[in-house]
Order: sequence, then C-alpha cells, then structure tokens
Amino acid sequence: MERRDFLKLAAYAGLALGVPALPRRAGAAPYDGPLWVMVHADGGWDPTSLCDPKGRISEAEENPMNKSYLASEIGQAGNIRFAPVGGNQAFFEKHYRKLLVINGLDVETNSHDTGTRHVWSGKTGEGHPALAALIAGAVGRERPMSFLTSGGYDYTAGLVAPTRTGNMGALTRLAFPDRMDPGNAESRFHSEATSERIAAAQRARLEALMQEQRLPKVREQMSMLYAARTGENELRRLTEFLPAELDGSNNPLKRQAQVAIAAYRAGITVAANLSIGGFDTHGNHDASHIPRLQLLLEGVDFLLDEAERTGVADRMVVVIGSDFARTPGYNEGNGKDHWSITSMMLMGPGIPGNRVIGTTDERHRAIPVDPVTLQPNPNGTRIKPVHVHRALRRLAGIDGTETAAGFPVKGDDLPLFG
Amino acid sequence: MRWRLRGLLPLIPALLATGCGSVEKEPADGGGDATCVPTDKFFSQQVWQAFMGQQCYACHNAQGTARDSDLLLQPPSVPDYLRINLERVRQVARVEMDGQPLLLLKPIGGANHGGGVQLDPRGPQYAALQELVRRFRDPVDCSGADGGDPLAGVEQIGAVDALRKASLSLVGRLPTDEEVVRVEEGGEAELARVLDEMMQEEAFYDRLKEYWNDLFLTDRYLSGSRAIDLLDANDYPNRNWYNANLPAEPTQEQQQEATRLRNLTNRAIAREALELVARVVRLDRPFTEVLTADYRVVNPYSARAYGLTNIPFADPEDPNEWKEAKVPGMEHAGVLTSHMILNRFPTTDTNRNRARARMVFRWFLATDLLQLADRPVDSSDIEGHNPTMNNPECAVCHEPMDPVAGAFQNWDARGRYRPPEGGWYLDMRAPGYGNATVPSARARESLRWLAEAVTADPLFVTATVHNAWTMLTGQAPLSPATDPTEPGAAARQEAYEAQNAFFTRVGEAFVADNYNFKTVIKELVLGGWYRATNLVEGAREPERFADLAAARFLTPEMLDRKIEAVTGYPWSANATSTHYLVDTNNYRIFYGGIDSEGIVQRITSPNGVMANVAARMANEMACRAVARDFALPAADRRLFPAVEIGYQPEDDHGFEIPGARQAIEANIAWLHQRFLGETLYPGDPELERTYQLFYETWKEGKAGIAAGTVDGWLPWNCRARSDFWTGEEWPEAQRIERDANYTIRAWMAVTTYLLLDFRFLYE
Repeated sequence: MERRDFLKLAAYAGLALGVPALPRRAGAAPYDGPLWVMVHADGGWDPTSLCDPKGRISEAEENPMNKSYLASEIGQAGNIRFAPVGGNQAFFEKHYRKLLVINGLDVETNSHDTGTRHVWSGKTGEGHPALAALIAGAVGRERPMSFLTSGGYDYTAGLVAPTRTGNMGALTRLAFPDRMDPGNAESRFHSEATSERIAAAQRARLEALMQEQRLPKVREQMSMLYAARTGENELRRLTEFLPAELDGSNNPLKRQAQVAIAAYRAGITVAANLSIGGFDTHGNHDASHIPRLQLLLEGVDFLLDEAERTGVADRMVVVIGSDFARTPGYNEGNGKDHWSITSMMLMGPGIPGNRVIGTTDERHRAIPVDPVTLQPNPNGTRIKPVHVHRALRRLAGIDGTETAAGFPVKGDDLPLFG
Repeated sequence: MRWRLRGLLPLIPALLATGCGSVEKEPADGGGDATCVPTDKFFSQQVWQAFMGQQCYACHNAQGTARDSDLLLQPPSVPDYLRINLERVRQVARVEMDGQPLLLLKPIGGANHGGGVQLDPRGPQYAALQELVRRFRDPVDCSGADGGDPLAGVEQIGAVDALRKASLSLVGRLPTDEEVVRVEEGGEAELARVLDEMMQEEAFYDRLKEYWNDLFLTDRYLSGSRAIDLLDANDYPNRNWYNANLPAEPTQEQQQEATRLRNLTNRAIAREALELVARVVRLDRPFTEVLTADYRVVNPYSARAYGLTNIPFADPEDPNEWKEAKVPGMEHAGVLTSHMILNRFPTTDTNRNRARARMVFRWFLATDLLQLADRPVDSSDIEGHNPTMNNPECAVCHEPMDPVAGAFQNWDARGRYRPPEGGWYLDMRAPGYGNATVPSARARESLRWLAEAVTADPLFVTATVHNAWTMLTGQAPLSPATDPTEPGAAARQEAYEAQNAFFTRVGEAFVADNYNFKTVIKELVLGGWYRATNLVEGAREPERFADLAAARFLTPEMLDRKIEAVTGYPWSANATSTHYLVDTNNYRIFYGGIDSEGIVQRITSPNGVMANVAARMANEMACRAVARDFALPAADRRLFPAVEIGYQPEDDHGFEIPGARQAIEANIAWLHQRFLGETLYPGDPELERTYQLFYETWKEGKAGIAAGTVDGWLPWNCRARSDFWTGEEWPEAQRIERDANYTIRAWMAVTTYLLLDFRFLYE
C-alpha cells in the first residue's frame, strides 16, 4: 500500500484530521518513534500504600491512614518516598532515577468509569479517546496494530482500531493469510499476481464506494477498513519478534508486556494499554491490595527489563495510573472506599526522573501547587489529569496536530517535565 | 433453505438488454421547512441549548448551589431529560410574585435570586424565556402543520433490501425466493408479515439470547460445571445429580455419560436467564415478564439439579424442552433472581448491591448511573456523617441507586436467598424505587416489588426500544449534545431529538401491543432510521447525521452465520468442528468478540489483525466453496447457476466466444446480489471491475498452463472430492479436481474479492 494512496483515501473519508502526522520515513517503513505504554491499575489503587506514603503515627492511633506500617518506617529512594510494604522497596530502589511521581492528582470523581476515563483521556465526559489511541492515531494510524489494548480505557473515537490479542498460536496462520500452510511459501491459495490483483480491485472499489458515500460515519467505517488492510503484510513481522514462549505466570502484565514490545519492535505498534485488576478493595484492604500492588510493580519491572533486553528501553514511555485512589483510614470491613485524590507515575525519554511533583496532607487531601514553581501553595492550582495530558501531548509532539485539536484538553500548562 | 434460480435465469436476457442500475433505493423525501415550532422544540433550541443548559444548569443541578430550589434541572445523561426539564420549568413558571412569574423575575436579579443577574432583560435569551412563558399560558398547536421529515436528505433502502438486511441480522440467513417475491409484490405490509414469520424461527431466539448475553455475560459459566458450582450445596443438595449413581471406579463409558449429563445440566443453568428472555418473547408475552416472572425456566436437566422432580416434561431427555417452575422458599422475579446474574454481578458488605442496582438501571431503565456523576465532584471534600445519604456530591448517584440496591436485600454475595435477620441497613436509603419504599409486608419479596415498579416506569419502554435498536444495528441510540458550544452541537441535538421522537412512537406501539418485543423489532425495521444508507447530494445540514452509522461491522457470530448462509459452507476445519470465528482458541477474540469473562466489550471496527482474519477466511472459503458448487447440478448451485467451468471469455486464439462474456457477467451480477445485496446491470463500473478481475486472472492462469509453469490441477484443499457434510467420497465422474481452463481459480479470485468486500463484512 502506497502512502499516497492511503492519504487519498483518508481525505475522501474526511479524515485529514488524523492523517498529517505520519511517520517521517516515506513508504512502508516500520514505525520508529517511541513506544507509549499506559499501565492501568483497575479499580482504584492506594497511593498511600505506594508512592504517597502515610504511615500510622503509632500503634495506638485511632483511624490510622494505614495499619500496615508506621510513619517512621517510610522508605526513600533518591527523592522518592515510598510505603515500606510489598515489593515497593525493590522497585523504587531499582527505578527511582527514571521515575517521576505525581501526587495529589485530583480526578474529581469516585466513579470507576469516569475516573478511568478522566485519567486516561484528560476529560471526565465521554468522547475523548484514550491517550494511547490519540497518539497512535496521530502518528501511526496506518499500522496494523497501532493501538494494542489489554484493557483499561481504550475508547478510540474512531482514530484507530484497537487490537486485542487472543491465542497467539493462531497468529501464525493470520500472519500468512495467503498460504494454505503458513510454513510453506509455495502453498498459496492464489498466485501472487492474483492476490495483488484482488487487492488492487478492493482498493479501487472501496475508493469508488467512498466517493459516493456522504454519511460521515460510514465513510469513517470504510476508511477504517482500508487502514486496517494497509498492514496485512506487516503482521507477519510480529511473528519474528514474539518470544518462543510467552510468560504463563499469574501476572497478566508480563505477557501483555511481551506482546507490546514484540509488536513495537516489529514496527506495527505505537501505543499499548496494559491492565491489571483487583484494586477495588472495599474489604480487607491490606491483605488484598498490597499483594496486587506488588504484582503491578513486578509487571512494570518486567516490562522495563524486557525493553532493556531487547534494546528499546530508551524509546519507551511508561505511564502508570488508576481510576482514583482509596479513602483515608478504613471502613467497617477493614477495607478502603473510593477517593478522588490519586497519583500517577511516569518514566521515559523527556521525563525527568528521581522527582516528585505535588503533595497531599496527612489525610490525603490535595494541596495545590504554584503553577510556576510547582511548590505547595494554598492559593495555587490543583493538579488534574488535564495538566498531565497537556504535558504528555507536548512530549509526544502531537499537541499542534489537527488530531489532537479535535479533542482539546482545556487548561493551564504546568511545567511537569521541566 | 436454498436460493432457487427462479429469480435469475429469466432475467438474463433482461440483464443483457437494460442499461445501468444501482442498489435499490427509495428516493429520499424532501421535507418542507416547519412554519410552526412546537413548544418542546422551541424549549430545546431557543432556551435549553441557547443558555439554560449551561448557564442555569451550572447552579440548578443536584449538586449545585441551587439544588434546594424548585428549579432542579436534569443533565443530558438522564433519559428524556428535555421533557423532564420542560415540565419542571413549566411548573416553576406558575409561581408568581407581584403578578410576574418567578421564572422571569429571578434571572434578571429579582425575587432575591441567589444567582443575581444572569440574563439581560433586553437580550434575546430573556426574550426566549418570555416567549416560553407565553407558550405555557397560550399553548401552540402545531398538529396540523407539516413538521418536516426529520430524515429529509437521507437515502433509504426499500422493502426488499430491508428484508435482506433484517433476515441476516435476525435469523442469519438470506431471504428465500418466495419471501423476496412476497415483499416485492406486497411491499411494507408483506415485509411485516415475513418478519413475523422469521421471528418464529429458532435462529431468531438464538440471536436474541446472543444479544442479551452481551449484557448479562452469564455465558461465562458455560464451561465445565462452573454454573452448577455456583449453586449452594445446602439449597440444592441434588445439584450434582448426574454423579449420584456413578460407582467409585466408573468405566470410561460411565464417566463419559456422567460428563454428558453434567454438561447438559450446566448449560441449562448457565443460560437460564437468557432462556427466560427467549421464552417470554417466543410466547408473545408482555416483555415486562422478563422481570416479573414468578418462576424459573428449567429443562429436564436443570430441574433435577434444582430438585424439582414433579415437572411433566414430554421428553425427559430433550434439553430444548423448557418449563416454568418455582423453587420453594424463595422469591422469583424474572432475571433479577437468577443465581447466575447475581453471581456475575456480585456484591460485598460495603458495596451493598449497588453494582447490581447499576445493572438494573442500565439494562431496563436506559440509565447509566455513572454518567450522573460526569460533572467534576470534589469527593475529597467529604466530611461529616454518612456522605452517601447527606452529601449532595455523593447523593447525585446514591439517591436513585441505593433504594434499588436495597431491594436486593434478600440476596447475598453468593446469590443465595438469605433475607437478613435484622432487616436492611439503617444508614442507607430504604429499599424501594424513586420515592416509593418497599412495604414491610413485602420485605421478603422486595425484588418482586422492584420488578413491578421498574416495569411500570416509562423508562422500561425506552430501554426496551433502545435494546432492540442496538440488537438490530449494533449502534447505541444517538445521544444529546452535552456541550452546546462544541461545533455541530445544534445539528447533533436535532438528530438526537428526531430519533428520540421516533423511538417514542415505537415505544407507544410496543405498549399498545401488550409489550410485545417483536412489535418493537418490526417497527424499527419498518422505520426510516434502520433504512438509512446514504445522504443525497446537497442534503440540508448534513452534520445532523454526523453520528448516524448506516452500516454495522458484523460480530464474529454474525459473520460466521453470513458466511454459511451465502456460500453454503461454514468456516471451520470440517463439518463437526467449532467454527473458527466463534472459537476462543481460534479467531473469536482476534476478530473482536467477547468471552463473557475478561473480555466483555466487542470491537466494532476492524484493525490489522481482524483484516487478516477476514483475508484468511476469504481465501479458505473460496477454496472450499467454488469447486464444490460446480460439482452440483446447475439447478442446485448457490454460486454459479449461470456458467459452467468450460465457459471461457476467449478461445485459444484470443477470439471472444459468443455468449460467454454475457453469461460470466450475469453470474458476476448474481454473486454481487447474493454476497453484497447489490443489483448490477450491464455497463455498471462494478460489474466491469469484477469482470476484469475474472478475466485477467483467467488469462494469466491460462497462459501459465500453456507455458507449463502453472499446474492444471487444483490445489488439493480446493478440490471437490467428497460431500462436505457427510465426508462421503464422490464418484470420479462427479469430482472436480482439474482446472485445465483456469476458470475455477478465476472464480475463486472473484469469490475471495467479494468475501472481503465492505458490504460483506458490514451489513
């Protein structure tokens, strides 16, 4: 598929919005921009058990913020304080130099859906795509698996089609749809010339249908089908990069990470949602939540190690977040309920590490920050997802694009990345 | 049912003689401009969208500073919000001070308006408010005026094309010859009758259950004994009845039989809620019975698991015989008391059935409770006692939700009937619905009470219409514009109101026909919104239809059915194996399907992997179907009734063979009709495009055979050697294994091309 043909079709579909920010290399070169990985802790994680520690003042304290550790036990790696529970110490000591922690992030809701949407799109209301989809749509929509999703908020607003992964063993047959036997290049259903003839006829027909079609949504659907077909030969590259055996442990993040990195190395993926659940601990919080946080951190650690092993670590941006947070103190069932002040963690090229922005008081209420210095200032600004999204869009180089302009995140700019 | 040739062969001379044509389309009506503006439209356009929805609503909402005033407005996330708000404004307009309505005094700063001056008394917004008040006093009657066709400018398919579309959607097959002729001759009225007949077919109930599982997600429990294991052993001591007579060391046959019985039992229990929905619709009962049914549906296998031994089944081994039964000692309230649904949507001590309540609102009241909290809230500002009861930031959701949650009081976290000894939580709103509470005398059947209340709410009708619409089209109903300042908001709002008005009329027909679900389906299929296919050139305000999706990307299940309906063969390894598109181990998830467990949202537009799935399908099905079709007598063929494998466009010297091209084109036209629902006539560019594909492929292959570089035999997999369904080998004379003229492979190219078409993968 020639790039100019794709541009022509996208224009017919009125999708000029999504087209301009194409990869710099001409032709069908693999995507070589950064890999954007959004890790979602589904259910509302507890930052006070992670990166915004609030320990118990003493054993006698009533209604403590946390029962699992004392304030005097709070750990620190570089400039980053952490709760001394689970696998936190190992994680923060290994990765603090690259980590940016944002505390006191106000997601303005206790609703799972609204909070997840707010964190990952920058807007509480419906309609905005997930950041991963927005970036994929702006810089790599013609890639066959441009946006890979394993859960979390993955609405794409039609910019790209999300891809889910099923039984990876079946992928080999899909990577070679023209072969009766995927392992035998001679076992074709049609001759090569016939396959090309069929593809050319398809393109021409779809062009003709799009020229006649005036309903915007149907034109968009046609364009999506067209775009989905542009990478049919690229899918087989994924099979070259997948590990011989995918991780089979009980940590879903590891397998998701392997597929995302392999797809990125194959040049067919721009952004990926990874997701792990089990954080909505309304009962028995400490015993349930802390192990989940450990699993989350082990999964992120695996992702970083895999990226290092395959030589892509310096081109990977990782953003970690959750729907919201958990209430200060415990409820009657020893659990924690929903709380709208949460945290995010970020790392990657352009994101200064060993840094904490934003803070909360002793009962995890947000403290506003000075919009210039980012120091605590009661008359300042509450950090919200809109600030994070504006900064990330600039980092991704898409803030000036028509794609991003179609989904504005209105607010001030905070110097989150310096 | 096989498509017969009656419709095609006599037409071949006509096809040769007539000129260009196109897909059957009904001309779009051109509606006249409305000269009379109904008050509801005036309110929407001149008042709500113009200023009230932003300016007034900013304070006059459930969390705002004016939340205690009489003018409490609802957001667009509340179904029917415009009508509700109009009525509220009308009521407030009746209150006067010094002879002036408060509605006109307060916005300009009078009557101690807490919001001060909001409108300029000389401005257009205030003038609109004055006009509204005048309309309340002196109602405007637009009933005699031409309101204009809301679908003016939209091209719509006719009755025959709608028949094909509905047939594939509802029963997964093409219409028969006879059905087509009936609708051709009898029009819309006959279409309605044919739809009635289709909705008697078992395939329709399979589709119905498939849709409702997208909501209930109880197919999660289909495998092994997952459903059976959810039943409490004390409540149902006979749940593992199939093992009762199993010896300590069973033979392989005995174990296999026990497993067979277990699977039948498990399936019946897992799908019980879906079977209830199907039964209500099948028997033309009021759809309200989906909630109010005071029974379960059981088959011979689940009846035994429940310990119900006195049910008179006609055939105690028929898993498809369903009866109504009551389990003693517990309330029955349709799907609300389904053990499967209660486990699929569990509760905890702190959740207190709120998740279950949310589902009731979503499935049966067209309301997403989580959208009520779209407005930013500052929940970190929660101080004080019992915020879900007392803090407006929380009450916006908890006020409607908690009474419904309380109605589930008798059902515990494991979906067991366990009325709480001390009653429901006192620090929570009392079980009920809206402003009504469950009477104490009915505390032990509070879900039955809730079922009655919910089905009496007009929103139940709205929800049913919405569900039927989504089932038919894969689309959610259009939503109102939430931010009137966004580009195109006014046009979107107009489209939403027009569709909403249509759905309201469908709902009225539903109620008038005693809540018959099939009536909703019919009314939707007969309506213009289902028939939309394009916009006329130069249509007025095309942005009105920015959200109108006239095509649906077929789900894996629907595409699977269409493949078999059109080609005559399934896409599977063999006649008995699970079809690839519905097999989780093959392409179901890759193609955007769900597993009802971790993957519960369908992907509704194709990505690169899905494109490859379709490509593989198109190649494999062309290989399977083409030669096999030629092996049949011409009168029995589905795909190639007008040609033989010897029909070549040219002879060996390159001269056109008389009649061959016409026959080939006629068959191509046949394939376009069968695969894509397109009617093509000679000279149509699409006919020419497909013919060129055939011709060039044939020519290339023929030259290759002549040069000895291409095999004259078909690839082994693509030969027609045996009956696909029985596996029985055909006699030599019947087999088709050679393709010496390369025509079979040329037809395979055409078949692949059509199977990959937009109009095949979408409907």
